[in-house]
Amino acid sequence: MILDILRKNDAEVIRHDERLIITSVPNEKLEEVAKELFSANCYYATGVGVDERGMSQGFAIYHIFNCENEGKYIVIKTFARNLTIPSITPVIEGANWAEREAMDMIGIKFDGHPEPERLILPDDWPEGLHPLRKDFPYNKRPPSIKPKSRVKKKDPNTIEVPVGPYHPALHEPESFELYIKGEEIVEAKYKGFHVHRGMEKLAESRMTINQIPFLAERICGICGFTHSCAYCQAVEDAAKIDVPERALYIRTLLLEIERIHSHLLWFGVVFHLLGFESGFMHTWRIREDFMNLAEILTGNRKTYGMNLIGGVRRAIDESKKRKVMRIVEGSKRDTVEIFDNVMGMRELLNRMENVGVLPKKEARGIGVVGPTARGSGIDTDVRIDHPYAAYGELEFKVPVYKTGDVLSRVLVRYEEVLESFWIIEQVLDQLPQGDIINENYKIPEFAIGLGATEAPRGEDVHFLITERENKVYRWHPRAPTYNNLPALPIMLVGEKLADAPVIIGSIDPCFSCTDHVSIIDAERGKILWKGPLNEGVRTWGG
Amino acid sequence: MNIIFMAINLAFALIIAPLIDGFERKVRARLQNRRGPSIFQTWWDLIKLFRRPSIEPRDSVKSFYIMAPYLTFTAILTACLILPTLLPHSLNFAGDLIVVIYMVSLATFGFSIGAFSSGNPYAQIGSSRELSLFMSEELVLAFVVGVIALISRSLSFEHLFPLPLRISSILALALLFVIIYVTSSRIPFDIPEAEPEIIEGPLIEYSGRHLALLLYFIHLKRFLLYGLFLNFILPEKPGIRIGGFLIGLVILSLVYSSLEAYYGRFRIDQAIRLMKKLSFVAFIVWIMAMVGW
Amino acid sequence: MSSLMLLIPIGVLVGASILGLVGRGKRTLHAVNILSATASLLIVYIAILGFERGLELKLWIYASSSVIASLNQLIFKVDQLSAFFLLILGILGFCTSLYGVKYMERYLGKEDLRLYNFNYPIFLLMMYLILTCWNLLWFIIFWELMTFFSQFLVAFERNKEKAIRAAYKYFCMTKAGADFLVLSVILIILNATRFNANYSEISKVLPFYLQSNPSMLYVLTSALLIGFGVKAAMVPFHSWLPDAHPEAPSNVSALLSGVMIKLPIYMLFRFFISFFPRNAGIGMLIASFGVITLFFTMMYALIQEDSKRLLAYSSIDNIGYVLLPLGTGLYLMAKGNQFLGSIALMASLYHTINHAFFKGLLFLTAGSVIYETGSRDLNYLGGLAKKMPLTGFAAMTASFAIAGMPPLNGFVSKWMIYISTLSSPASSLFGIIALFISGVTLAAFVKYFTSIFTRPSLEEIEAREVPLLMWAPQMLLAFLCILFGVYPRLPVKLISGALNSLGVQMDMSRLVIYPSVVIPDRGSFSPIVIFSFILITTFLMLLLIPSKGKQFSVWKCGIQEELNVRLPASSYYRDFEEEFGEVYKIGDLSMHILKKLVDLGKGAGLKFEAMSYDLNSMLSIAMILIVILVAVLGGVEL
Repeated sequence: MILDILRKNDAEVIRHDERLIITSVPNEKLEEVAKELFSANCYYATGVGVDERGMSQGFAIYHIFNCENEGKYIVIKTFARNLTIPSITPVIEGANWAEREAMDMIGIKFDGHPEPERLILPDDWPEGLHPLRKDFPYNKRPPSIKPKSRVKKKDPNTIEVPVGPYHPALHEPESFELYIKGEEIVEAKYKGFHVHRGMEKLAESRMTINQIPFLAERICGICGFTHSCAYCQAVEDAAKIDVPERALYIRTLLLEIERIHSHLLWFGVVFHLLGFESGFMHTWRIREDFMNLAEILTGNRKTYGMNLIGGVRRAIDESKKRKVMRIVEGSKRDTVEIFDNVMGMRELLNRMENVGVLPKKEARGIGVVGPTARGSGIDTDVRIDHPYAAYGELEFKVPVYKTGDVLSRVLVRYEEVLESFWIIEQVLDQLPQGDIINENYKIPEFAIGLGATEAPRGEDVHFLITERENKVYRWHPRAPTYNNLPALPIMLVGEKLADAPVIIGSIDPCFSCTDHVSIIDAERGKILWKGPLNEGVRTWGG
Repeated sequence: MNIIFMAINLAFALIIAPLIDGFERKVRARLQNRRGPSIFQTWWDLIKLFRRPSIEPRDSVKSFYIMAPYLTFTAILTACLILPTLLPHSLNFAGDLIVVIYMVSLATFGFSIGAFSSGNPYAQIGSSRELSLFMSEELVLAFVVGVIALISRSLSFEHLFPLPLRISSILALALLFVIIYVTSSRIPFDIPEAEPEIIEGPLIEYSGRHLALLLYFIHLKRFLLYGLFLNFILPEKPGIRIGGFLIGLVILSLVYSSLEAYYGRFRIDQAIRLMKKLSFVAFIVWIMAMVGW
Repeated sequence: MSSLMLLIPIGVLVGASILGLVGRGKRTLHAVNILSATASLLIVYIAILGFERGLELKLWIYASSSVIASLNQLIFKVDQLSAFFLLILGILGFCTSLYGVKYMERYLGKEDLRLYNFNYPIFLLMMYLILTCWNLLWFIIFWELMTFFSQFLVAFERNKEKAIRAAYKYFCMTKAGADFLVLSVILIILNATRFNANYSEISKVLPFYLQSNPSMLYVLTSALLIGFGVKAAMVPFHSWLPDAHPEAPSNVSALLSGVMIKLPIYMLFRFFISFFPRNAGIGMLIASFGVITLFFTMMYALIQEDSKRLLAYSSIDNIGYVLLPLGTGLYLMAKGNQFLGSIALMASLYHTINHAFFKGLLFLTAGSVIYETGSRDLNYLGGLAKKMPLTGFAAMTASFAIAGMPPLNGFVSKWMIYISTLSSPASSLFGIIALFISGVTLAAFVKYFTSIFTRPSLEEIEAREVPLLMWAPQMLLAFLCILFGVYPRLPVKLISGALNSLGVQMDMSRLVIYPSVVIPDRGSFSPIVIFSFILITTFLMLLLIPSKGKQFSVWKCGIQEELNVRLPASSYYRDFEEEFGEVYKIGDLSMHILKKLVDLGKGAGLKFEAMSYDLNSMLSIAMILIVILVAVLGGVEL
C-alpha cells in the first residue's frame, strides 16, 4: 500500500527492506505524498535537514514517517530548489518544529510554513549564519546582535506569569509564558532550547564513529542508554552489522532497568509537584535500589557506558542474576504498596483527573509518542511495532488508556513499570551464551541508517549518514520530548495555574534530550563550553 | 511580679516557636524515611537570614514593601503579649478573644500589602490566594467564636479559659483544631506559599532580614494558635498548667506534622470548597450550642 | 443670644448658593466652597455648644390653629443626639468643602459649575435643617427638599447618560420612600398627637398610644423602615446607591456616603427610642435587615472593578453594621438587659461616626486619584503610592480602619458590636455573620488599596501629589480615625450624652473606658497599650534591624523582556467568588424579581394611563380610592 502511494508520485526508491523504505520524491509531489501517508495511518516521526553539498547536489530534507501498521519506517527525501522546499506543516502539524529546525540550522526556506520563526537559535544570533552547514566551523563564535523587540498588546484583564527559564517546578531551564485570568490559563507560549550543547555538530566534526555512543549517552541523564542504543542501531542498520544475541539481551536488560529508574524518578517529581512530599521521598528510595542494581551490573549508577557498535562492552555473569532478582522482587512489592496507597488518596486523584486533557485527534496530528500518546488512546510502542534488541522474542503487554488526562499518563507509566519487572525476569531466564560483540564490520561511505528505540518517554529516532574515514556525515537524534512538547499549549489552555507544573511534568519532559543541537547561551551571548568532551557533559541529578 | 511572668511568656514564645518548627521538620523527615535536619536547624536558618542584607526590588513601592514585615511581626508579637501562653499571666486587660483574632488579621493584612507592593506576579497571585483562603476560614472561625461566646456568655479570657465541658464545646474545639491547621499554612493548605507552583508566593521578593522576620512571623503564628487551643483545654492551676502546656505543644506538633506528611497540596478552589462544607458543620455545632448541648 | 447662632449657618449657606448662581469661574467656585467650609465650622461649633448645654430657638411663621397649625412653629433645637450628628456633618462638610476648592476645578470649562455652586450649599443647608428642626412636618419638608437638590449634584456630569439615569433612579426611589414617611407622619399627627408635630410632644404621647394600638405600631414601623430604609440604602431598597454615589463628584460622594445616609439613622434613633415603646420584635426585625444588608453587599463589593462603586457597596454594608447593633440594642432593652442594650446602641452610633470618617476619607482618596489620573478603573490603575505618598498613607489608614484593625477606630465599634451581639443567643448568629463579613471587608479593601496604590499598573501613569487643600482634609480625617481608635473616651462621652438625651441611661460605673475599655464579664481591650506597643516595637525594630539593602529588579524567572506582571483587579479572589457563587445568584435573583415587579408597575401605569381617557372608569376608580383613603386615614373617627 505504501509502495502504491510512492509509485503514484514518481518516487525513486533508494532502499527497501523489511524495516525501512528510503525514497526520493520530487519537490512538487512532496505535499501529496505526505498527506497520503498521513491518512494511511503513518504518523510523522521527525525531519532532518542535511547539507549535502559534499555528497551530491545542494540541500535536502529527509522526512521520516513511522508506519506502525506495516512495521516500517518510511524516509522521504527531497532536494531543495533554490534553497526552497514546500512545507508539509499545513498538512501535518507535527512537521512544524522539524522544518523550523532545518530553517535555523541549515538555512532551507519552507514555502507555506505558518510560523517561520526561530526555534533553536537564540534571539541574539545573527541572521544568515547556519551552524549545521558544512562550511561553518564548530568553534566559530559569532558576535551577538541586538534582538528585535516584540511589541505586545497589553490586555488589562490578564496577567503574564513567567514559568521559567528558572523555576522550582522545572528541573531544567525552559520558558513558558502563561497568560492568566483569575486562576485560569488563557494562553501559553513555549520557548525552549536553552540547554543546547552542540552535539550534532561536535559528532560531525570531531568524533569518530565509535566514540559517538558515549556522546549519545550524555544527551540525557535519565535516558542516556536508550540514546546510545538507538545510535548503535542506526549504524548497525547502515552497515548491515549482525549483533550477537547475548549482546541484544544485555542491551534489553539495561534498557528496562533504565525505564524503571526513569519512571520512578518521574513519579517522585509528580508527587513533589502535587505537594505530596512523602510519596516523592518513598519512590526515590525505591529508585535508589535500581541505581545500586545498575552499579552491580555495569559498574556505574547511571550513564552505563556499555554500548559499542556491534555489541556491548561487558558481560553479565550468572552469579549476579540472583542479586538482580532479589532487588527486583523487593522493589516490585514496595512499588505496588505505594501505589495502592496513592490510589486511595482522593485529594491526589482529584488533582490529576480531567486535568491537562489531550484529545486523540490532536495527539495524532502533532505526533506525540510514548506514555503521552498511550494515555490518549493511541496504541503505539516501538518495542512492538518495530522490534529491536531482544524485544521480538519477549512477551509483554503495552498499557493504553483513553482519557488523555494526567491520571491516565500516571497509570500508563505505572503499568509499564510492572511490565518492565516482568521483562527483566524473562531476560534473565533466557539469557543466551555467546559473544558480546561483533567487531567484524566495515562501514560503507554515505550510507543512510535509522535506529529507533522506545525510550521511557516515547519513541527515540536516530538518523545517520556515514562518511569515509570512520566518521559521521550527519547525525540527528530526535528525542521523544521533541514531539511531545508542542502538545503542551493545548493541554495548558483552560486549566488553572496551580495545575500548570503538574501538566508540564506529566509529559515527562526531558529538555536535555530535546535541546541538543547548538552551542548557545542565549542570555549572555557566550559559548557554554569548548574543549574536552567531559566539559560538555550535562549531568542530571542521579 | 506580673510583669516578670509576662516577660517569661514572651521570651518563651520567641525562643520556642522556631524550635517547634524544627521538631516538626524532624517528625516529617522520619515519616518520609529520611533522617531530617536537627531540631535547632530553624533557629540557625533564622540567624543566618538575619545576618544577611535584604535586597529590594527596584520597581516596588518601597515604603510599603519595607514596612510590611515589621508591621506583621509586631502585630503577632502583640497578640503573644495578650494571650497567656506558658504561664497564665498576660496583658489580658489589653485584649480579649476578639482582639487576638484581629491581631492575627492585622498581621495577614500587613503581609498582603507587602506582597502586593513587591511588583512580582507570583507574590500578587499568592497573596490573592491567601486572602481567599483567609476569607473562607473566617467563616468557620466566626462560627467557632460564636459557639464559644454562647457557651461561656463572654469573650474575655477569665471566662473562656478553660472552656466548660459540653458536647458543643468539644465539637467547637475540634473545629478550631482544623482551623488552626488551615491557618498555619500547612500542606494541604499551604497554597499561598506553594513552592513548585508559585515559587513561595508572597515571600518571593523578600530576602535577608525581611525574610527572617516573615518566617519568624509564621512560626510565631503557629505557636500562638497552639497556645490559643491549649488555653481552652488546660485548667488554671500554674503547676499542672506548665506541664500540660508543654506536653500539649509536643502532641499538637506531632499530630500536625504527621498529617502534613500524609497529604498532598490542595488547589485553591478545592480548599475553599472544603471550608464551605466545614462551615455547614460549624452551623450545626452552633445550633447545638443554642439548644444548650 | 447664643441660640441665634443657629441661624448663622443658614445665612452663610444661602448666601453661598446665591453667590454660586452668579458666576461660572474659578473665583466663584472657590468662594462658594470656602463659605461652605466656614459654615461647616460653625456647625461644628454649634454641635459643641449643643453638647454642653443644648440650644433652642423658636420661630413663629404665623398664628393659626388649624391642621396646618403644626407648621406655624418652626422650632430649632439642638440636643445631644442632634449635636452628635451635627458634629459629623460639620467635620465632614468642612473637609469636603475645602477639598472641593481644588477638586471641582477639574470641571472648569467642561461643565457648568453653577449647578454645583448652587446646589452644594443648599444640600449642606438642608442636612443642617433636618438635624436641627424639632417638628415632624418641617422635617418632611426639609427631607424632600434635600432629596430634590441633591439629585442635581449626582447628575452633575450631565453629559453622561449614566449619571442622569443614576440621579433619576436616586430621586424616584427616595421620593417613593419619602411618601411612606409622609404617610406615617400624617398617621401619627392625625391619630396620636392631635396635629402637634413637635418632637417633645410626640415623645410624651406616642409611646402610650402605640402600646394600646399595636396594629398601628406595626403599620408605622413598616412605613418607617421602608421610608428610611430607602434613604439609608438598606437591602432590599439599596439599588440606587451603587449607581448614584460613583457618578457624583467625589467630595459630594463623601458627603452622600458619610452624612446623608446617616440622617435616616438619626431619625430611626429618635423614632424607635423616644417615640415608640420598647418592642423586642421590632428590634429583631431591624437587626435582621442589618445582617442581610451587611452580608450581601460586601460580597458584591468584593467583585467590583470600579473604585467608587466598590466604596459605594461598602457604604451600604456599613449601614448594615449600624442597623445590626441598633436592632440588637432595641431587642436587648425590650428584654430588660439595659446595660448590654445600651452598649449595642453605643456601638451603633460609634460606627456611624467612624464610618463617616473613614468612608469620607476613602471617597476623598478616590477623588484624588480621579483628579490626577482621570480613572476609576481598578484594572488600569496601580503603583500610585510612589507618586502620591500622602494620599497613599491616608488611603492605607482608611483601609485599615474600615477593616476594623486595632488600634484604629473601626475596631472599637466592631468590638462593641461583637460583644453585644455574640453574648446573647438571639443575636448570636448575626454576630457570627458580622465577624465573617469583617474578614471579607479586609480582603475587599486590600483589593481597593493595592490595586490603586501598590501593585504595578498596566502602563506608566503620570501623576503627582494633589494640592494642599486636597490632602490636608484627608490627613485630618486620617488623624481623626486614629484618634477615635486610640482614645475612645472622647467619642464615648459624646455618645453617652446623645443616648442620655434619648432617655437611655448609660451605666458609666460598669463601663470603663480609660485606660482600657472594659465591659465586665464580657470582654476588654486597651487601645492605648496596643497602639503604643505597636508603635514602639516597630520603631525599635526599624532601628535595630535596618533594612539598608541593595536594589535589584523584580524576579521574573530569568526572562529579560517586558512582561505584564500585574494582577488585574478582575482576577483578585476569583476562586472565592466562584465557590461562593450561590450568594451572587441569590442577589441577582432578587434583583431580577424586583425588576420584574418594577416592570409590572410600569405596565400597570401604562394601562392606567390608557384607561384615563375614559371618563366613567376614572370616576369609579376615584370613588373607590377616596373610600379607601378615608377608611385608612381617619378610621371612623374623623
